[in-house]
Amino acid sequence: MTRTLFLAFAFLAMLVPSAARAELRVDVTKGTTEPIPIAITNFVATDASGQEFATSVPAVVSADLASTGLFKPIDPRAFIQDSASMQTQIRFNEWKAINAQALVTGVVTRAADGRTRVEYRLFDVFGQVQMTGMAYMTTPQNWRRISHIIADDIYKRLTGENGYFDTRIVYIAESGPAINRVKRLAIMDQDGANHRFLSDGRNLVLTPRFSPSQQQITYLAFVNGKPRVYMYDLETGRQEILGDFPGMTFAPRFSPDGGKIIFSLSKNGNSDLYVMDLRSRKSQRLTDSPSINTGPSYSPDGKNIVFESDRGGTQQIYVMDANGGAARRISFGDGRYASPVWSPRGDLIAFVKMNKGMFYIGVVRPDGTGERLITNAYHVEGPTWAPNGRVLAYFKEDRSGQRSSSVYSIDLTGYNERRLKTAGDGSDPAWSPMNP
Amino acid sequence: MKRPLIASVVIHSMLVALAIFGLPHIMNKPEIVEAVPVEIVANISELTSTNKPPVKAPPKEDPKKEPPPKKEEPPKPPTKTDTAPPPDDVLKEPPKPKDKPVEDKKGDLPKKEDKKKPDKKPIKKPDPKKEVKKDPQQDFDSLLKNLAADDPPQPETPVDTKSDSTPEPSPNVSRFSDVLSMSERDALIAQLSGCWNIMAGSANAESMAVEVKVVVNQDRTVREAKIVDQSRYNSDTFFRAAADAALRALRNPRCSPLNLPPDKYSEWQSMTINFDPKDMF
Repeated sequence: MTRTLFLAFAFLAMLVPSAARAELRVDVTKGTTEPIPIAITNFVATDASGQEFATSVPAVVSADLASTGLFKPIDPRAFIQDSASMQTQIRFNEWKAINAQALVTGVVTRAADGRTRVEYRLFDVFGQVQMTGMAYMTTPQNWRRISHIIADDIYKRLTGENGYFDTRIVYIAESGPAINRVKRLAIMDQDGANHRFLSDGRNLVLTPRFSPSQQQITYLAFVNGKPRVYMYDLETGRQEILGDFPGMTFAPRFSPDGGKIIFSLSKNGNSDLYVMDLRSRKSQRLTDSPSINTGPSYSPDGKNIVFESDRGGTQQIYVMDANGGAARRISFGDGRYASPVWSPRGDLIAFVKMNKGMFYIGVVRPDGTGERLITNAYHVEGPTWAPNGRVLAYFKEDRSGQRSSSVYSIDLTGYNERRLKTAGDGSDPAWSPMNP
Repeated sequence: MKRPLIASVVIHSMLVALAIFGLPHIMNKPEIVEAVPVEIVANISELTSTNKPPVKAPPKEDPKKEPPPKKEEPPKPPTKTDTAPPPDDVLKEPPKPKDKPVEDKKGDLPKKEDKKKPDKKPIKKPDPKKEVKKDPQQDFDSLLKNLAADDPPQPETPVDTKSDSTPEPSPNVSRFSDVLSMSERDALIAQLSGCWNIMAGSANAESMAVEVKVVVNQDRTVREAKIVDQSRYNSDTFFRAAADAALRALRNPRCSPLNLPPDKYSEWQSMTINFDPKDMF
């Protein structure tokens, strides 16, 4: 009996330590937001024809990544190992020594058919492993595109999000005095390269809008003083008139599938929302209230619409079903809210807020929570999302005597605001989807 | 009758105590070290030593892995089929307004040989007291800017940034307080916080918690670090990026050796570290 009792005790005793000695678990709930130090080396050219790309491609990749604020390219003068020797062995300790956490190498070769082949590899310096590597081929004059695609790959591998470097921005290039302002439609790569004018400035053009799914834009032009909407296919150069729309002040926006456009028309002091099917060209009215309803934008799933309205007494933002019906107010702060644009990733709606003589760009969740104002100025207007939904472009005017506006980008943290290169003054930017 | 009972209780208690304190390692089953997908560099502090891993062969492409069938995009026919008259002010676009798209995109390049053997174990050293390198007592509230929050003219705007939350002791803390003291745990957490980089502004960044199983050498360098949720690592690009960031924190030279009490090796030689950015948002 005593012996049985003893054994039972001993058994229990063995169990106790196992519980007490459960494996240590530590919760780290705070980190830093420093940019990742990344070493982007010159690529190795296998022949003289690739020599130029061997330095220019990494330079564009570096500029793209640096512009995000998430990466800090390391000054190449600090590099210890040279590009050529990396083709046989990467001495990770030498990259660690200069605090690189990621490393990019590459090779440029010329294919037999005259095209250029660019391959790159991204390494995790601490882990000493290759994270990704791809090769691309194209005609030599297309080297900037390859650079942006490589930057997108690297961005995606290190952040998990899609990149936005292989994209373009359409905007209104402005010049001339305030009373006789010339406004031209212009397009450029997101980094300002390959700039081109699409119109000659004879007619006033406004508010270009990109289709989220195709390389098409709509814009509003005042022809003989009347607002007319055009649709422009950038792939084919084909241009169509969608119609004359008296009472229109903004160009229509596309539905996510590019098959419909949504817009507002004002009549007798009221303004209502309409949707037009681009195939049948039939329009349907979505709102019918004795108030102003304008600035509509689709959610990325196409099921909802966000718009601005003064139906509650002041200018606020509302969300409603894409087929119309009851609307739910989502903005509640002081001041007036306008120009809502739904993010391509669906989680936020960007807007312009006006309060006490100051303009703000802000974001809010579609349910109205989490409002944040990320930038402000004497006048900021026209937010447009990069296709990954992490960065916005908009234009800003300062309170200087002469009118001048510039296009800026800002990321969702609100800390990485950059002025984009444009030809002279710029306004009304519209960010393209990823290039096909 | 009473005396034997008392004796029995006393003796049994002694036996229990002996079992608890005398045989601590019986139940401490050795960690099964599985093949780790990404290996930790054990010797990261010795930057000057050139014990480089055997990185293999150059990325010389072998012809056979040249592109899968290129999806050559024939330049779009410059269909100048204007169905409607373009506005007279629109410049005639060159039919192919865009750069020709990149023509072929080959699959992933073969991975360079980068499997390296675990670095030699560093020699155990008696461990000088470690100062907490970077005290991340920074203002993390400002991770996402909100002008409304610090702008006096608009106090009415809903403020969404959470007020600074002092790190709540995790529910597990008390369970382990007998193992590592609070300050010892905090020292480790503070150290890792300084090496852990978070991508602010990413979608769902706040819910991207990553558990890492870590095996630590006696000299407090990390021997192995393995992401617990491997299937998510392989299927979710956001999680993979967050997981890689957690591994980079553990491998960062600034965080080696780990701030751990050398005399409690048996307690921390194997642990799970949960990188959860919840307090950042």
